[in-house]
Amino acid sequence: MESDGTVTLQDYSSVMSEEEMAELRALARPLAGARVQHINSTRVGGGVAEILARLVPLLKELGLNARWDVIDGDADFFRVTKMFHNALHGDPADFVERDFEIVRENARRNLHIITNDDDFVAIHDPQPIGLMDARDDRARGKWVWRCHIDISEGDPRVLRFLRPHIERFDAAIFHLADYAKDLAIPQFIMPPAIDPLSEKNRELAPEEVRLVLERFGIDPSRPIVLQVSRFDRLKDPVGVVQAFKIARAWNDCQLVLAGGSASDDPEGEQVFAETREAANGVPDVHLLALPPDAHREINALQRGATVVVQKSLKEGFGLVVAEAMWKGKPVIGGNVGGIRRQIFQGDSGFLVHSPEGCAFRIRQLLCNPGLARRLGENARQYVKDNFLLPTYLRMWVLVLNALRRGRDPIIDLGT
Amino acid sequence: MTPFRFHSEQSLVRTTGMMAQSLRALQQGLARASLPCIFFHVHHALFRRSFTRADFMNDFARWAWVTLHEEALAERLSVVDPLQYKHIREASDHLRAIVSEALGRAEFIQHVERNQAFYFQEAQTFICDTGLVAQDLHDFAQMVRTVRPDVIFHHFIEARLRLARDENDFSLWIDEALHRPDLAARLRQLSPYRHDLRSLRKTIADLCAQEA
Repeated sequence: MESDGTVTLQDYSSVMSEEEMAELRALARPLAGARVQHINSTRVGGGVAEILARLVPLLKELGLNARWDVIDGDADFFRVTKMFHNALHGDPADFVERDFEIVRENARRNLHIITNDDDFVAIHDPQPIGLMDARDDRARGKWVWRCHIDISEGDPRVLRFLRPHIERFDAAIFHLADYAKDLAIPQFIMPPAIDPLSEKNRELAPEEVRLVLERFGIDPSRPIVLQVSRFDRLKDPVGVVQAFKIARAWNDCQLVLAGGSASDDPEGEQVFAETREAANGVPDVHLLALPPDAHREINALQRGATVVVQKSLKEGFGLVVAEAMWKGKPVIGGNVGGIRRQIFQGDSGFLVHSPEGCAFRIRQLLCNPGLARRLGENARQYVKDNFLLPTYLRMWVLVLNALRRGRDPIIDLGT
Repeated sequence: MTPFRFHSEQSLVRTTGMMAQSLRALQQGLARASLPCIFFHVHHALFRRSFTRADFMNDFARWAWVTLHEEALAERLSVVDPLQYKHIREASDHLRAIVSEALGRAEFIQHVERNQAFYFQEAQTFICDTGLVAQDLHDFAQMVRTVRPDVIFHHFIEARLRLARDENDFSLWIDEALHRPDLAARLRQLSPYRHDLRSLRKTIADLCAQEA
């Protein structure tokens, strides 16, 4: 790692063989010197910014002339784009025409970001999508829209607004096939990734794990069932408590529900109270309201857990599942959203539909350490093969190659 | 003697815009799907079997089993060996015939929600030289043991379709460059669909190491 915190490919040598690095360099060779501009709406905070902070320096290391620009926006703009975000997720929103105009005005203020001399322009999510108005179709650059959210059942008014912009791109990228829309442009599938070097995922010494558990009053010597998620009804923390109550009648264990601080989210506060009420009188339940930057603590909790649960009722991709799987943990997930793409029933974890199903699987795993170990090993391997940052980087290199080389099903990149 | 150069194969997945929310739609999709799409769901499915039980020979069988709970249909789809066909369209026709027969017997046709649909996809493949070069059987046995599953896929599965005969790059080299027809014949007999790509890799490496 460089002195400014920038990572290098060599930092990933524990998850990437020398052959894989050599191959990645070979895949990137045809793109040497290509100018690549990534654009999103924030430099810090959120998964997109975290991933771009890693991705752009690594693309540079591979010989591409990559850079990352961020659009400016005022509070009104981000209010409307937050409404867009929620409406694209299917939540009802009350738009007025002025809201769409605010987005158009913001795009006009940011048009200077586009220079039309890049080989590739990657726009992340809907916020900067209006920059498409600055595209000069005579310029050589290929444009790609990287959508990090599920728009398959999005609000039709927002989609009607976005579609003319989206369909001017050369391609779009979605996490999963079921997140995409029927669009008139090619759509690539690229799942999100976790960074094994981040505070949330880096290796921790057993001693540090033990100290964190003890700091929260958790007994490291007894089995631990953990769910990490904000206190949100869609994450079903009350259902997890119900499952724990059933499982605990058979197996000695502790439950840890670790989520964001309740004070910054009125609904979260209410759900936290409901969860506390559900856990009232149940021994060995730990409800932890952690600050947003408690990445190392979350890491330690996941590493200290015996079984990890993500009993969501609705979920996007659910990268927290990949985080636990990467730590070799058997995960019990709700049979929804992207969780279904991470867990293979009985092979890399279990999918459940009810608190009872969750309780059954907790008991099964606590009673069968061998099974838990096998699922955890498979889970780690699956994440290593599919959801780590080096894979994500390789996917980007393939996308850029594909944009340049067209739709041939087989492309020989030679040596 | 010509050395053997190992190539890797990286894939970029695309949606085709087609999806199926019922068996009827799956049947129609199988008829309309492009050859790269069928190839993806039949052969690339091997990548998705790296540790899953060998119940599911291909993505169609997996969807029939896991989502539709049509276990008899899934069994019949699972037993189709795609390498038995010289052309991918023949495998597709066979799969479609099995689905059609199941439809003929069905008392009702189940529709699933959009988020449980079967999404027809295809892959764009990028071939790259790994830099690994085997000069003899000893080298080859050592190198093949550690190459990634996509290298095995490229030389063993994709090659059979590329060469359009019951052959793969490994057996071809061992036969023509090393003049070891017996070993080549044993490699030809291996089926990746009995196991997964990692197990296949081990079997190839063991066979070659014994003979080296």
